[in-house]
Amino acid sequence: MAEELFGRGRDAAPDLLPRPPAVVGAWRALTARRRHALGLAMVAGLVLMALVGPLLAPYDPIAQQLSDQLQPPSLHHWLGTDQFGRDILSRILAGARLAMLVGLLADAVALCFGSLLGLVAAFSRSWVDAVVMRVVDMLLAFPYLLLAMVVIAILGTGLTPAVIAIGVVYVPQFARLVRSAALAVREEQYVEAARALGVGRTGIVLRHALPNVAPPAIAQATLLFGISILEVAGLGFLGLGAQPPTPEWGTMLADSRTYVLTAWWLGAFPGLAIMISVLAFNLLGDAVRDAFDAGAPSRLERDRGA
Amino acid sequence: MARYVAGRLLQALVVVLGVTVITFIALHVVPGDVAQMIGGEKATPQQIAEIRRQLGLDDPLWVQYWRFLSSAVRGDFGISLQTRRPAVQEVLTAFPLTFQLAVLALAVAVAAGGWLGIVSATRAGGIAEGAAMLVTMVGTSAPVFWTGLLLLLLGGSVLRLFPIGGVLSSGVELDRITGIPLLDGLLTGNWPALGDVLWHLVLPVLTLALLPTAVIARITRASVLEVLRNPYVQTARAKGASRARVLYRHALPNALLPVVTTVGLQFGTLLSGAILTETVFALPGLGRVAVNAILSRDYPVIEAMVVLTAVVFTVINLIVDLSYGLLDPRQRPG
Repeated sequence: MAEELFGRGRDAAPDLLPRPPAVVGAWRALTARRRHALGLAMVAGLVLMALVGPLLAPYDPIAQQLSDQLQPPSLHHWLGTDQFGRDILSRILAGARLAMLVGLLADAVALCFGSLLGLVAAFSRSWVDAVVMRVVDMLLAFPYLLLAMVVIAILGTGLTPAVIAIGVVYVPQFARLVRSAALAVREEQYVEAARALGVGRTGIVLRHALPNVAPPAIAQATLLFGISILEVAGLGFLGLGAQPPTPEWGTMLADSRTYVLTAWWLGAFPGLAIMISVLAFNLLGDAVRDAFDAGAPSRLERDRGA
Repeated sequence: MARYVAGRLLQALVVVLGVTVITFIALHVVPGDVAQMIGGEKATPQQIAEIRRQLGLDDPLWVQYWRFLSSAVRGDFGISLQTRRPAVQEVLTAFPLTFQLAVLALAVAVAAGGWLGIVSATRAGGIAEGAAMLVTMVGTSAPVFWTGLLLLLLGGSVLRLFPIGGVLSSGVELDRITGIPLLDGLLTGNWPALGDVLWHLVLPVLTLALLPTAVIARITRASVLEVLRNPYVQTARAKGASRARVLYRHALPNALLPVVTTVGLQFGTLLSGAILTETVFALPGLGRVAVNAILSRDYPVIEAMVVLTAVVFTVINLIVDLSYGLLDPRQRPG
């Protein structure tokens, strides 16, 4: 109440004008700069490709057609064929769907467990905080690929273990981000007021902390979406992720290694697909962060982690 | 200062111990029956029990951890299930190659990224700014294993300038002293081999350097731009200092601190990138050891790798932390 009456001051005036609906506001913020709009458009394109691409694909992404082996790009096969005569365009379209699922799932793992740890640490007010944060620091200091490999050593190879591994790798980053945002909320007057009114710890976390923690977490999750596509592809490239004949981009690149000097199209296009996806989510991530413009991590912190 | 260093050392020790606990739990306790794995499919229950007894798997957990830790301190992680050689030896043979690749790539990235960052900050709208933007965009979004394959195609096949993989050409001999080929070449004065090693390193180093170059260029640019806005820079300019003097004497020393932090943070990314780069260029480094160990569930080797890497990283982080005090007097603890 006090915030309402005294806290706003000069800022109260613009409220007299009719405000645009939230959706319009978000749209304006996300498209304010040309590169941000570009990011949004690219991500929209990728999502569309993931949804309808496989339906439009001219060929089966997995069925082998040995008479069409290693065909260079042509009118029949726009992006050529691989060593089993499979159409590369169809495989890339099928891969787009996998890539979007990879980003979604890795994000879900990192966001859920990271937020949980961060909130618990921030609101525990006990040794739990210290223990959680020391473990987080420890994991942050570790090369991400090695950490992912440990997870894969336990779970075995495959696309799902690879996605879980990359999700786990980013749990510490989210934990730290969410904790620092939650710590700031914890000291706010309205939280104190809520506590004075008898609202329990869970209530405060759900009603007050979560909404405030969400913006930076969502901005970070957008960036991670692209990064996790890249890193799951990296595991696929090493042979630790998706296994053949899955049309996953990293696995396709691994297959292309044997033919890199004779059939460039095998590797060129899946790599391009990965790069475009990462770029799209990087741009959109910047846009989301600018739109919220609140306590998001600095570039230092988010350059693919420590 | 001494107290600060001691405190930091203690902290580093705790981190390494923590890593051994996590590794032990992750790889000793979780994966199921190691005895079954060693014994193989056909082992009888008696044989399995015998293996369990030999490995001490029936002891309480903390006894097992203590045994793991006390042998690890002595550099004993057990025998590789695959090659039957000591696990630590597998890792130590491969590590120098990866280390060499990572250090060279970082050196290239610091030079190229720093230069791009400074030039693009001081000459807005020029070619350098365009180049910096392109490197940043491609570097942060292109998969390292893809740029590696493209460079391999371009430099090794189309232009035929560089070898397409490996450490040395066949027929070139190099005595092993440190295991780091460049250093061994220098130490033995074996110049032809040294040149050959460098020639093989060009493409992998360029591949691995791209991402850190992009990151360092971006941070340097932002940092220089920010420092140049300071009043003391204007003062220096007003007093008639030349452009170069303002930049190199007044602006850069202050602009470099965030860059050092970034460089320190790049090591983790570099090692991950090195593993992928090695796979592209068929280099027998840590990447190959890691992938083979995981595919064959060679736990002793995985453990040795994780713990040794953790030690190396903790030491690097320690050095980076302590170097702040040298660069910025304000960071020196009282």
